[in-house]
Order: sequence, then C-alpha cells, then structure tokens
Amino acid sequence: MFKKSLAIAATLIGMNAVAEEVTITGTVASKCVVVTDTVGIYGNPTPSELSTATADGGVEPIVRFDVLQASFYKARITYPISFSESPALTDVVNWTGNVSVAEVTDASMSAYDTSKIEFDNVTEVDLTVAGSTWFKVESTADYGATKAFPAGTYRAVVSADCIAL
Amino acid sequence: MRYIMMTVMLTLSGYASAHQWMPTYPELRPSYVAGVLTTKMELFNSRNDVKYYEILVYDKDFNPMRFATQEKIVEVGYLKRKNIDVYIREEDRDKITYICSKSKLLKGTGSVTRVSSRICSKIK
Amino acid sequence: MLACSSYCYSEEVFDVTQNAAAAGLNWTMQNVLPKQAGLTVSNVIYRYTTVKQTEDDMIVYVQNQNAQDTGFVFRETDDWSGIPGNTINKVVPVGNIPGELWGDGSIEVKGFGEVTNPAVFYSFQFDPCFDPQSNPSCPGYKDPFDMMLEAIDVYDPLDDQYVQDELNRKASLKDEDEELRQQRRAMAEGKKENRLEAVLSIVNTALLTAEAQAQAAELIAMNFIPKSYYQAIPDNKYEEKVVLDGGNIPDNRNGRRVGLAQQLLHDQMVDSQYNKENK
Repeated sequence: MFKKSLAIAATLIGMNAVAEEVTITGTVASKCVVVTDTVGIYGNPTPSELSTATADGGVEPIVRFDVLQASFYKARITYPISFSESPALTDVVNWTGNVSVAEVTDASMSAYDTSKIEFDNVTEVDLTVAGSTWFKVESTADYGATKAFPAGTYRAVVSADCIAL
Repeated sequence: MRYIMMTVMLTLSGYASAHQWMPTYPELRPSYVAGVLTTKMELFNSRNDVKYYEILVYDKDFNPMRFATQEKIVEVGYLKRKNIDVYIREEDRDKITYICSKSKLLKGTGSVTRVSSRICSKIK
Repeated sequence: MLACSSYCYSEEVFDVTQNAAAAGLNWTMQNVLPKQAGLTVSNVIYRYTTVKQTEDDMIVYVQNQNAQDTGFVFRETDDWSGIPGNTINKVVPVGNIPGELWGDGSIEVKGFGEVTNPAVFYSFQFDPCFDPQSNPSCPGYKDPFDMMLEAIDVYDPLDDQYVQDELNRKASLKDEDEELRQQRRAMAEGKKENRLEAVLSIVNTALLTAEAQAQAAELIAMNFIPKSYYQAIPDNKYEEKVVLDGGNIPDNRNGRRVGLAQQLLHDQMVDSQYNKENK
C-alpha cells in the first residue's frame, strides 16, 4: 500500500513539473562575407618576372564574395602594384594584372565580367545577384628592362573590399 | 547521440577563410556624451591567418574621417565574434558614409601573395 | 530513462556520393546512391563549366527523372543566354526526397554551347537501423534463435473431443466390419475376402447401422466405385436343352446273391452322411 502511494505521488509530482521555454531568435539581414579561397603564389618563369599564371608556375589568388541579398554590396578588388615585402630593389617594377569572374553560384553572375568597372588597378563589380562569386586575380611583376630580381622573399597583397551600396 | 557526418564542401576547393562585418546599414544614435553619436558593429573572424582588424571611417570619397573607438586595431581570434562601439561627432554625421573593418596582415608571415579583406557598412 | 537514452538511438549516417557525372552527362542513380532502406536525399551539389559565345542563347538543365511517375523529381535551370560562359558551383536543397524516387540523371543543354567538367553530387542520409533486424546492435532487434525457442502451445489432437468421437466411431465401424467378415467366412467355403465384396455386402445388407451406410457411401464416393458394382445386374440362366434319357439300368440278377447285401450296406453308409437329423 505504501509503495503504491509512493508511486502515485511520484507520478503526480512529475505531472506538475514546470516547463520552461527557451526562445532562440535570429534575424536574416543583408551581409557580405569576404572569403579568401586561394592564396596566391608567384612563379618565377624568367629571372626578371614574377607571375601568378599557372603556366608560369604560379597560383592565382581567388577571393569569394558571399552576399545574402542582391544589390546591397559592391565588390572592389585591387591587384598588387607594389611589394609588401621584398629585398631592396634599385629599379622600377612594372605591374600588370586583371580581375575576372572565376566561378559563380548563379548563371546570371557571369554578366559581372561584362558589367565590371576597371580603373587603375581596381576592379569594381556591383553584386546584383545574391549568392557567391569567385574572383581570380592575375598579377605580373616585371623588373626593369629584363633585369633579374635579386634573391629573397617577395610578398604582395591583393585587396578585396565589400562596400555597402 | 553520436552522428556520423560528412561535411559538404561548398567551395569544392581547399583553403577558405572569411571575414564578416555587420550590420550593413548601421544606425547612429545619441551616446551618453553630448554631441557624440554611436553605433554598435559586430565583427566575426573566420580567417585563421588573420588575428587583427583595423576599424576605419570614411566619407563618400573614401577619405578618412575622425572617429573614436575603444581599440582602433582589435584582436579577434579565429571563429570569434566581437562587438565594437564606434563614436563619431554629430557635426560629422552628414559627411561620414562608411564604417569599415580591414584585416591586418602580419609582416614576414604567410604565403607569398595574401589577400587583405575590407568590408564597409554604409550609414544612410 | 537515462539507461534507455543511450540504447534507444541509432546513428544516422550522413554522406555524399561520388561524382555522378564523372563518366558523362547522363547517369543512372542505381550506380550512385547506396542501396539502403529509408535513404533520403537532402541536397544536390553540382558544378560545370560552359563554353559559349557571349551573344548565344544557352540554357542548361541539371535534372533527375521521377522513377515512379512521369516528369522530374529534380530539375534546376541555369540560363546562360547573352552572357559569357563561366563555371557555376551550386548547392540546391531538395528537402529529403526518398531515394527510391530518384531516376536517371542528366545535364541537358538547349541552345548553343558546351558543358565541360561536370560534377554532380548528392548528399543523403539514412538510418542503418531502419530495419531493426539488419544488425544485432539495432534497438528492437530480436534474436531469431530466441524467437524459435519461444513457448509453443502443443496441441494434442487426442484431447480434442471431436477427434475422439471420430476415432470411437471408426473403432465401432471396424468392429462391425470384422463381425461381418467372420459371418461371411462361415457362410461359404472357398470364398475369398474381397474388399469390393465387403463394400457390396455392406451396402446391400440391412444389418448395418445408418452411420455405417453413410460411411460406405463416402468410401464408395472416394474410391469412385461405379454403380454397376453394387447394383444387381439381371442375369439369365441357360438351361440345358439336350437331355439324355439315361434309361433304367436294372440290377443284375446274377450278382444279387453276391453283391446285394454289400450293395445294401454301401447304400446305408452313403445315406448316413446326409442324415441331418443326426447333426
């Protein structure tokens, strides 16, 4: 009899237990995420040239821009026009480069290549389609007039900006 | 419960690191100091090659503008989030257009060519 | 409940297939998705590069037929018309569609242009214990050997009243049959015990009970004995037409004194065995 009472009491206690509700909130807002997909490596096809081209033994840096909502951001990618770190150079370095769309998550993003604005070493693209866009950067540095680069470590920086419209 | 999961590689390539800066359109509100406006920004760092970010404020032509914050160069660990209060003068309210965060690359480290990321939010 | 929590769960398996389009722009899902009960597909991830002239129209469909109905279970459209070719990398959530619905897949091109380097992956999930009997570690698994050893109610037909009544009836019938057989043996000498004759006599005699007659009818029905076997066939007796007059052969007077007394004695002896009054 006592055991039965105990069991019933335990059941009643269980039924009267207080439950708490914990709310998880979140908001979806426009945002831009800049992702470094591939860091670049300069190849040295000739003594006077450093290049990120695959044929020259280099690796082209790839930057990815993720936007949640269309037409809230523009991408601005700058290819290098100077070394951030290098041995002492006595001559002028000629820089060339190009920024182009490498991969897209929406076919219509392919139009960025035709609608991009280029000035100096800057490429600006209005991100008019939501999703992810990969941009590859080509960069070449020529030293003087066929002058050999001195030995040492050379580093350059690609700048990827995501600017709200 | 133990899950056996295979992560889908969205990029289908190897290395990836990212930097996020929110909100896109911050709102300026009066601070506890008269004549000073403030806004709260959030920085999320998923770049394992970057630990420091610089806070910058620009006008519409990307000319630097004066502002105040607790740290102009903040340290944000990998996969960490940080809230940053930015203070600007009320008289500069009409000129200031962008509040940006820019990754700071340490000299002498990393691979040959690195990517510096900067994300700018716009004050409407 | 705490003990049950680690025991009641089965591990869900999440995985991604190999590149379905590795061999070309058409593929069969039988070679792609694993054969698992309860499998569902949650995402389709694909990638390809288009080679085209910017001004050309081109539409690319990445699709899977519906294996159980007409139409498509999945179809994604990429419109490349009027824009340069490029590489597309897309993840499409499909909301856990069961694996049996996924038919043949393909990348279809409409317009001018070419698709190169296709890659199509399916992310899926399944519960290995969807069928608990598939693995001893699954919750709800029943050992087949234990199931065999479960208590079985033994039914003894001899305990059944109806069976017992039938056996008793058969025993009494058997006894009655045996009695009839003995009577027939006593009636005629040289007659062979014949099952057919027993059936015939059983049917034709009024000495048996109604039950026996019914049983005999069943026996007849089972054995398909023709009716002619137990129905009287009218027959004829052919009387002798030729009768020889044997005449009268008198006793020989000459032998009267010699054999007459012996003859008389012989006749008495022969007649004595037919004297039924003595039996």
